Amino acid sequence: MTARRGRNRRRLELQSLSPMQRVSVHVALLVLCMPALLPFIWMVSTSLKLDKDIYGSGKAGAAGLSLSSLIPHPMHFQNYPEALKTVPFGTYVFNSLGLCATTILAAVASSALVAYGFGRIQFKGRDFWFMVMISTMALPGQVTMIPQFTLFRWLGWYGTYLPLTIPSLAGAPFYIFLLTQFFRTIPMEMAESARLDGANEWTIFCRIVLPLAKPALATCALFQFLGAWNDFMGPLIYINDPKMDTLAYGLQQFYSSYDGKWAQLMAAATLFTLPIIVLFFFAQKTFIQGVATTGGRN
Amino acid sequence: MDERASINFGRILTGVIVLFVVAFWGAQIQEQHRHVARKKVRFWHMWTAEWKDVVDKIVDRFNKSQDEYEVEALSVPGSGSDSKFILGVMGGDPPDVMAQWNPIIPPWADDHLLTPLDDLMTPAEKKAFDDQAYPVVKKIGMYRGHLYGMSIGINMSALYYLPKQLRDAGIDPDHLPATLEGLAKIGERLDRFDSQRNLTHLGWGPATFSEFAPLFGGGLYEWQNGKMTIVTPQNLAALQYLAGIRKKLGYDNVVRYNAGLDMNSASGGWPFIDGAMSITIDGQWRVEQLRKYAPTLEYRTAPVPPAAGGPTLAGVSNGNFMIVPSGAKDPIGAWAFIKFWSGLTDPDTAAEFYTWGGWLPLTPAIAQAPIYKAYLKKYPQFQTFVDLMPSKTISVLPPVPYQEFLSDQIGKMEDSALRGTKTPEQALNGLLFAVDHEISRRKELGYDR
Repeated sequence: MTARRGRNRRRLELQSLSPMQRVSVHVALLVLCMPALLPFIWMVSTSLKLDKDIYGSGKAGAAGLSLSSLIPHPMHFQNYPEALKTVPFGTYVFNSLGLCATTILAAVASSALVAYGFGRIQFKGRDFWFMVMISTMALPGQVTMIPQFTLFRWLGWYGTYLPLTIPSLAGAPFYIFLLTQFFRTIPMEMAESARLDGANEWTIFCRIVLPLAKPALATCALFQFLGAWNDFMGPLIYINDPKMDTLAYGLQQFYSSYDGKWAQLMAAATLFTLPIIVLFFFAQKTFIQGVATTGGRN
Repeated sequence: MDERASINFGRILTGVIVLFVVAFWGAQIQEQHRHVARKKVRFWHMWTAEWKDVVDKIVDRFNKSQDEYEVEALSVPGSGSDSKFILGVMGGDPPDVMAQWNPIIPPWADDHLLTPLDDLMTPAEKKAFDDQAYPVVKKIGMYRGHLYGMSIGINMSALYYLPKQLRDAGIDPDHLPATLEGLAKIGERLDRFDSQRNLTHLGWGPATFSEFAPLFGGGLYEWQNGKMTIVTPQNLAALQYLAGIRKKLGYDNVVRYNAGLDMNSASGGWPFIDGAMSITIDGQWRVEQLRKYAPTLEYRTAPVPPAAGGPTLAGVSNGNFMIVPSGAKDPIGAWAFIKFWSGLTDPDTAAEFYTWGGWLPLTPAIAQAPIYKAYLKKYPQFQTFVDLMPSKTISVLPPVPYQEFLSDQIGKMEDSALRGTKTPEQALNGLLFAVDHEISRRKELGYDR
């Protein structure tokens, strides 16, 4: 209801502008988008060119970047099947999606449980432990890399997917923080009423809090997807079997193997980016709602 | 989407994710070794694409020749290989052997990440290495009196030139100048510019200080007493030579020209194939590339001539080498594989591997193996590089524990002199200052004695 009202208000604000002002606003927005859009447009454009057309063919100097240089002529769609043939793309996608799905389920479920404790239950030392949990976010990955590696090797997990998935079951500090903030916005009276009806904490968590927290959960899931999808260091360190390689790792291998074949590399990079764009396209409303409702309150 | 539909969609999505997770973990079936009875030797390397195929072939040959060990090769992306290796060693699970080409021997040996290979050699093998290995092979692998890296392919640089372009300019391709100064003069005759003085063709455009300093009798390291030598008349002359040519061509002109070169994959990404430069300096691996991408191209190779009064057959080299980490589970198996590949004890068998990769041999015995001689007969241009191997004036990156830092600083020094932002004297003094500062810093921090 509130979201719809906000949308209507924005539409009204835009309608109150003159056509000229509206065009100016859109042009300004487009210009501001360029630094973010240009690399993406260049990637897609390069993926449809022949290698020799990327830099221009003049020997007297590089062609430079111009609007016309971004339009591939002729379109060379062949780069895509060639890139797919060069690496076992299907295996990489399967492995990446497997890791993404596993870690999403594990991280979101475990973080929600911990966040419920911090956000909805009063216990001694709660704020202290919350601060401790928050402070672990400040630890750089390089600091924990060696002890983590030693631990996982000791557990016999080296060379398996376990080091890349099992830690997600222990919750992620950022998601716990995000969900704690969200859970605190849910009125306590709802839980009190449920308690009067005989519900225990588990029932309240599953039947009341989780359904209301869908935008925040979706936001955590999206962040987790991005993290797992782009993870290069994890598979690099722990995986020793090419059949277990992920897409981010495979893309790096592709780059090492075919340095100079920029068109094919960009085709592979476009395919790599595509799922993220599709996912964000479908989930953006929930994602923004999740961020908006968790970011502003303490 | 109404609320009910939204709930259903959420449930279906969660269900699909759960099903996928089940399928994913179900597919993780552990593969058994092909030869269960044999001891596993884990081998990491950084080769990819067609180079990986060559490595796999060599590994396959080794495994077929064995009833005790089985090598398992893993190609690791170059950008993360060092992190993976160091974590492996520190975490207690390194590979048994790794092929490297980065400047890592001094720093890793100092950090006790490597096993000295002389500890794994029998006295006879050690003697064979000391007596037979080419001087440059020892320079690359030795550090503080121990052998840490066994070469499996040396890289050398020489001149590549296009006789037709020389003939067209009235230069006799059979008699190239005997000095670098002479080469600079014919380079000028081969350069071409358009009406706006933009470079359109490069005759001779040398650039790398490390390659040229030895040709002036210079270099950055005194091998006899283990001291860095940076600001010397020879080094200065080398940098002045490179900067002088660049100044004549125009600093920005060369940058612009290089940026506009056609990196067409049909020419293997090397503009020499398209005739964009008449004379250039490059490694022996280009012979194989030319065979593949330009089999009909008329080209020749020759040693880079020295500066007037400088030593002949001088230059710089680097290469691929095998290391055995500290804590390797089977260093003996690793050594067996290294011996097999390098050809230290069986040069005739290993000679074939060197021809597969277009690599330069470890010892004269490999160069004399029938299969290697046949390869040289087929690709006579390769002989130029083999002839450089016995030279004692071929240098390598100084074996100091701050090699990576030094490499970066040499690049910066070269860049500032060749762009004209500093004079050669200023650039060399800048390098000296940076290196002295790094040495003091390392001493203060207790890294070096």
